[in-house]
Amino acid sequence: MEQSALTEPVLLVLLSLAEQPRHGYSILKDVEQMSEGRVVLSTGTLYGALQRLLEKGWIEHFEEDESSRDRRAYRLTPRGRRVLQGEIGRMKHLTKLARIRTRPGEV
Amino acid sequence: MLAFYRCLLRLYPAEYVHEYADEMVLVFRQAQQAAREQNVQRRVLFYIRELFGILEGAYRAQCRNFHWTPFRRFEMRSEFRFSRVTVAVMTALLAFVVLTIDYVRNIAANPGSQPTIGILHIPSLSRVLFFLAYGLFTMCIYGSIGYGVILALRKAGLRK
Repeated sequence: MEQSALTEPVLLVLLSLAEQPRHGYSILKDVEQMSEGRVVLSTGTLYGALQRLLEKGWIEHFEEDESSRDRRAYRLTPRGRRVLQGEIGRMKHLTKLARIRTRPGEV
Repeated sequence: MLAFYRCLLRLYPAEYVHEYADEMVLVFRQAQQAAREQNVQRRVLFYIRELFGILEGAYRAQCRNFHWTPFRRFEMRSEFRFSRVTVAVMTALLAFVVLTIDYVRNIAANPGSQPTIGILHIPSLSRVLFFLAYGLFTMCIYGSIGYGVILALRKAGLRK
């Protein structure tokens, strides 16, 4: 089944979790840092996205020793990683296409 | 502000609150502490963003939680029971409304003449008694129909 393009916040959340498991606040800060301050998520938006990603099975709770209900970490699942790689491949293709089509001197 | 944030979390569905509320409050507190170190403009932006974020999130969560179906109004919960008193009172109210509409319509149509209910002309002395008897009769008819429908639905096993 073909996956539709991910929204930028979702893509950034997945990228953030691709590196290592993170808690909610850590995801917020990482997304802001990766987008150079362009994408700043609110807690409502972040947890809405996390809930959808959990339902799709792209991320999962990461059990830690000191993990409690109000401080849970999330990590990417193999399925989520495949989706992310698919999206990166799609973006690479688009970038390549854009480079070719916007080459100077071509009409 | 944290108390207000907790209040806003009540806009989410109960399952969502149970699953994420504590975590969201913790993240909000951390973000709020970071925002306190910034200038006023950024702090105001932070609160506005959080306010709209939580309202939007609650709206989305409620929409996801609500599965609308055109047949929803005919669905009956398994624990649903019609009380006979409720049926009787509702039928009486319905009959009263129908009769009143009919009565007023007749008065409006024939201002000088004897008021009627339906096809019946009522003598002035016994008008009230007849009105009550007619009301009771109509109530019984509507009640029987209503009870028959409910019984049929139950027998058909119409459940959620």
